[in-house]
Amino acid sequence: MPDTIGVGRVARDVRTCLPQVQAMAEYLSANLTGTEARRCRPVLARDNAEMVDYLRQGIVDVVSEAPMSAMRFIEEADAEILLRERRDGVAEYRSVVFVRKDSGIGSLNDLRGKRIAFQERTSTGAFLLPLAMIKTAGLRTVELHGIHAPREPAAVGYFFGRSELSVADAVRDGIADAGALNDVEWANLQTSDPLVEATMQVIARSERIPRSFVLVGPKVSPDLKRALKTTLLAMDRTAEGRAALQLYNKVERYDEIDASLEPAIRRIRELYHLVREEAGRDDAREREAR
Amino acid sequence: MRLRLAARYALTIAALVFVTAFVLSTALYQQQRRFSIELEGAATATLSNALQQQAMEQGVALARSLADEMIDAIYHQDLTTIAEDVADTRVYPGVISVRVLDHRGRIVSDGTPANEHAGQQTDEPWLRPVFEAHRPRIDDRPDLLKVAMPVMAGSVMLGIVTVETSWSPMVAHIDAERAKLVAILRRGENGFFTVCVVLSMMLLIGAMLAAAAVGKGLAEPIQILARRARQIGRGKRDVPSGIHRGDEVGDLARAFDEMATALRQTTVSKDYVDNILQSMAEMLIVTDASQRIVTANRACLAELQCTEDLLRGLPISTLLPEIAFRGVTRADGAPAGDGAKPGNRANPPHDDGASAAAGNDGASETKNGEGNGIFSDDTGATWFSLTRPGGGTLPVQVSVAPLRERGDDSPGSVYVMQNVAAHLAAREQSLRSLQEKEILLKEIHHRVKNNLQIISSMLSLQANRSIDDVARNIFLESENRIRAMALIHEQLYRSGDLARVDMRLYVQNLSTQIVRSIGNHGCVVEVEVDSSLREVPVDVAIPLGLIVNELLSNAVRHAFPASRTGKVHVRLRARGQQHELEVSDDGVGLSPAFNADSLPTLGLKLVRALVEQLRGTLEIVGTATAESGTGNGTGSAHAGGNGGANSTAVAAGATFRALFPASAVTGATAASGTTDRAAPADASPTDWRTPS
Repeated sequence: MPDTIGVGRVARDVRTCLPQVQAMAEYLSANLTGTEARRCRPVLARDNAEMVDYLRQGIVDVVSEAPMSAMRFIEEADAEILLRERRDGVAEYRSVVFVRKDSGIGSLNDLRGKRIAFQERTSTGAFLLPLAMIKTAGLRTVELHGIHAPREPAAVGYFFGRSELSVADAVRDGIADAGALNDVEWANLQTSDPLVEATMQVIARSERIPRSFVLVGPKVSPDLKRALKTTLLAMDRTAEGRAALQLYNKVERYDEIDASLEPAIRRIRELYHLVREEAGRDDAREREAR
Repeated sequence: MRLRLAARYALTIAALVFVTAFVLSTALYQQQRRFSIELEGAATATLSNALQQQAMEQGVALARSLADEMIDAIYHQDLTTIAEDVADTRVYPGVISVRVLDHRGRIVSDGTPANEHAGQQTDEPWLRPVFEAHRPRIDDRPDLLKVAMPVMAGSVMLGIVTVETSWSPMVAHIDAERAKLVAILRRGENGFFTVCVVLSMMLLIGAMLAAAAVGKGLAEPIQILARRARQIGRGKRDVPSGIHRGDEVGDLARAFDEMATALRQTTVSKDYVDNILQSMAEMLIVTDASQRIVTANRACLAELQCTEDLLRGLPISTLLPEIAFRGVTRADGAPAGDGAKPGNRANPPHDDGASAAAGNDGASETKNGEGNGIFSDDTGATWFSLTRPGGGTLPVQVSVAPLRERGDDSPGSVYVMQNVAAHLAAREQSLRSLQEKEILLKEIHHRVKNNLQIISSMLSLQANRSIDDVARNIFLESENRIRAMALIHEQLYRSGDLARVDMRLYVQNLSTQIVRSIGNHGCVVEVEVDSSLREVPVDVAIPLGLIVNELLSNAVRHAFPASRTGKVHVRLRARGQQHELEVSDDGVGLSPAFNADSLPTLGLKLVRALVEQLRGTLEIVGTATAESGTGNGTGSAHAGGNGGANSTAVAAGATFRALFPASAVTGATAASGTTDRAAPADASPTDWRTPS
């Protein structure tokens, strides 16, 4: 049994995310019972591939991640789903594809030869899930390296806007013909910017999938799994726990994985398989660069 | 060099202002110089501190920036990124070294490209507080600045970034900045110096202009007053100065105007005097001390028929040789026309020694005030012959007065002459007329006398033809009375004075005439007249003569009856404020029954009427004698007369005394018409000595 439990997250912004993960780690250090492990530490991975490594090596024992990334950790690092995580006030969410109302685009099929802006490569709701929707619609996709890259007439070209605002700005400014966000972000965007509602419209919505999962690495003992499960499920029952959850990632609480979630997990696996190549593409390039 | 007041004032004020401005400017410049030095020191210190603080802040900021940038790199042990960030930091000016340590103090990057010290454990004391407190640390050393900045992700310290910077760039920067500051201060000093000089010059110019303006403001009224004073000196005193100011100059101007007004009111101007002199109808010549003509007025020039230029410089003797050569003098004996001093003996330029004092040559003067006189020559004429330069003479009356100016010991003279030609002609005419009238009046008196003599002769003839003694006496008495009157007229036309009668001569002639007419009857008539009453006016002399005629005739006829002899005295004399006419005799006296009031004789009535005409009173004194009752009536009349209150019996003779006011005799005109009083109608014999 390792003496230290690694609490991980895929994040490039150490300054912001390390304190969040640190809060969870400290909470677990203080409240984790039924295990010999006494100390938890935050571990940030720059991408899913690094997290897969950390999980395999046992550097990270427990990690929260969106369904598509979680599916990758499961398949590539033998991670195991421990709990469902309610984040941002929702247990499930979905992706929306939106365009400008004056764009003449009414459906996903109209995106052929167009460009669509996604948020980032590791995002489930703003990349992998809508990408899977487009592929499910029978459209070929091609990644555009930069906003000035030429379009593919027979494919849907895509690029990354890094944040939800940049995605919406790209659509509004005509840099992209369409954009994709999860519905929580879309709702926030509509609330914060009235022009979005006035000038844009949603042309496609994905199926609902769980918001996030808590996974444990392959080297986590059953006792630790139980201890983690017990402790995390009880977190929202105490103020300290709720504070730590809020600070960690605006998490409300954790739910157990029951049989009702099995279809959803299977569907996620299917969708993941559609976009597994795109999900691991940059990881390889970056690793090579490093 | 003669400077005007305004220029002097301007130069004085300008000099004062310039000196003041120079001193102030020098003091200000020195003060500014000291201020610049102090400012340079203070600014250098402040700049040094500021730059030091800035450098320190820059070092801290640099370290903090590097630490922030390295959070991800340190956390993920991204050495490449760390090396790039360190290299980027090292290029900053003054940065000596940059190191990156992990949270355990091991060197992640030593800042060198080789990174030879990577992995080495550091144990530097100054870094311990950073590891312990997770707070930055600044090590301020004289030669360099060391900053240790923790790399924090929330409360998690990921490592430490140390940055060492040198002060040299900062010192160089300070020196450069100080050089800039000094240059600015020098420019400021130079600018201040220039400003001081310019301000001084402007002050100088401004002060000169202001002083000139002020000086002009002072000098102009003074110049005006000076011109005004010259005008007053020339006699033009009716022009005000025109200066109306409230200051001392205004006071001076007002005082000046008041002085001019006072002079105008209290003195006469030369023009005024000239106008007067020129307007004079009399001729006026002014001579200098040498008696040479200085000026003459228009009247003189007109009379002399020449110009003033011709007269100017001529000796006065040229025009008035008689004054000059005859030595006309004043009545007080001092010679007039003196060349040096009028009033003294004449000393003409061409004096030939013929000058004579008054009294010696007959010249005399009518005084006409002190130092002034109207001259007359020895002939008694009050005129002189004024010689015209162009020929001819002019009779003039001359007055001369000294013309002495204040402080002048050698006065000139003023000759004032009046053309008396017309006056002389008029006087000549008057004299001729007077002579004619005197002749005429004498002729009238002569003719009156002749007429009276004719009447008298006719009465005499009538008396001689009368057989009645009474009538004959009446004719004879009337004849005598007319003769008495004719005698006056005869005496008047024979004498030089046609208005006054010599009473002594007249009474003598009258008594002679009476005695010759009626005989002396044994008496001698003596006449005595005071010299003060010798000459009386003719209108007084006639009644007096008639009174004497009546009384003397009566006395000669009746006072000495038979062979009695005696004297009859006729006296006309003064007694105090009265004159007395007395006719007395030592004859038989008056009759005891004589009563003057009741006596009906014409003679006594006539006497009483004539006395009253002369506003006199008549007193009769007489005494009775033995012969009076036996005489021809006259004596008895004397002895038996009753004189009433005034008629008392006398032992011998009778006296008729008439008293007149002095004014009635010597000059007063007798009551008009009295001489024409008609004789009483009841004419009777005049013998009031005859017993009634």
